[in-house]
Amino acid sequence: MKNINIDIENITFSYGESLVLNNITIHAHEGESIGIIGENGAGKSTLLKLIVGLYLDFSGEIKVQGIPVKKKNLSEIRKMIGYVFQDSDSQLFMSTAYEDVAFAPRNYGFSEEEVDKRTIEALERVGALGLRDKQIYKMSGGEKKLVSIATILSMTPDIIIMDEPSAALDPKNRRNLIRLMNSFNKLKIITSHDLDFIMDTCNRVILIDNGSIIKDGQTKDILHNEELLEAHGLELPLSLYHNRKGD
Amino acid sequence: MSKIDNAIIKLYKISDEASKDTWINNIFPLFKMILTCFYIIMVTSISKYQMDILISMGIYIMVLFIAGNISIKDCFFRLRIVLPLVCIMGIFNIFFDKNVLFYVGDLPVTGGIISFLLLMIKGIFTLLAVYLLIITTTIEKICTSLSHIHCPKIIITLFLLIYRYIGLLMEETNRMLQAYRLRAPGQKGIKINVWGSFVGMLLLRTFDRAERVNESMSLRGFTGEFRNWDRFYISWKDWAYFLIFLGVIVLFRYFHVFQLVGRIIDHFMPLAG
Repeated sequence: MKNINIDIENITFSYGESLVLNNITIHAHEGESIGIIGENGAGKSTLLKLIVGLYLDFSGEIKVQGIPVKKKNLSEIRKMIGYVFQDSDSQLFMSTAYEDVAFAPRNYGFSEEEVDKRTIEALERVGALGLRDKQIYKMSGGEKKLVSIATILSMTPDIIIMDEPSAALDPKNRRNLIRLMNSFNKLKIITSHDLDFIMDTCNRVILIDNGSIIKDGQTKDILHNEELLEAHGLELPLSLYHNRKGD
Repeated sequence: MSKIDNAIIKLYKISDEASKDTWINNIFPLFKMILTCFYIIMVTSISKYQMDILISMGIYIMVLFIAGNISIKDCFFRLRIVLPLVCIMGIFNIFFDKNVLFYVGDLPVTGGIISFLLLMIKGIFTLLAVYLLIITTTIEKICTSLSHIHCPKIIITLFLLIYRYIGLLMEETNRMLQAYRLRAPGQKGIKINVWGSFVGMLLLRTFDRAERVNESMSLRGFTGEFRNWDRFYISWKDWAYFLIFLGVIVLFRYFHVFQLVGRIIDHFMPLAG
């Protein structure tokens, strides 16, 4: 049985002159759900992109299931990881939801029956089966987000990485997404400014500020720590904030 | 609604029509592509005075429009900018070839007029054939067909990305225009001194977005090759469509069908006197 993990060792990465990530070390294991939080420009999205090898000019080492993130291994690594972009319009490029969700299984060489099965299952899982033949450009923001998630579920990945997944979702779809995320019990890494979403879906939180890890620990320890959050440009999750104020 | 909004809707409407579940849309895409290319070669190879053959080649186009229930009005509306260019392509023939071929009443009809008309009709038929292919075949199917005939990966990827890029460019332009208009009430168009930064920003934004789309494709295993060939099952209907239309095109190209029909009619119903 394979052991699902990601090992990030002493990663440093710059965009030209500007240092984005500084000496980051994270070890993520199967069953964990990790929320990466931090204010805008902290380096959260960049970190996710390094894991899937979208940027390779970093120093340090990243291994996904023991395989180093290097150009020659990208195809193998990307088969294991489902990555959901912050902007659904970037994620979806085919004409209909079905075609987009079927894109990855087709590229990985599955038979047409298997592609169809995976596509239907993925759309069903996110509650978007009704959208299967709908043109992407006719979809609302929330619908696009659900289909974006389905596009990676059809790959049946071992690891899910999501950049701001709850953005553009209405409360009902947000709840559905939380339920969906909690039903995925392999390894997931989520970045979000929606700390309530992080609280509902993650058991571990990593706080990043200015490209460095400030705190890595249990969700409740970090998200209840008002002083820590405020010192790094964040605020308590709304649910905790209201409870504290007695609203 | 702004002009660009309308243009985006029109662009996507073509994509909508290509995805329809009709018999003509479901024909094996490679067959449609081969037939279109063959038709274009046949039409363009017609020599300069063979007007009857050229007119008969139009039957292929007419049959597809009728059988596919495709709106001719929409077609001409969409091609309204390109069609005049195609029409004036051979206009100089009128001045160079003044050899009188026949008279219509007292009006001399020169070889130049005939070859001009011939070039014009050839251009229109070629354009309509390509339009019929696009309106009945999605971009993905066209790319898949190209990959099946071993077209280089790089060309297919470029083709697909350019198609996507047009949409992205228009969407980004629309967003920026909306943002501009909301902060420039009562102003008509964009001020000349803003154009430079507007276009620069537009290009940067669309490059950025195109790059993200490319990242999204590569993260889902895309290596420039379309691996969805299996899903196109070739049925007897596809073969029938291909062979019949291939036969029809050859028949109209190499036989004077109208003359033949005329002789048959004349044989059975000879004109008095």
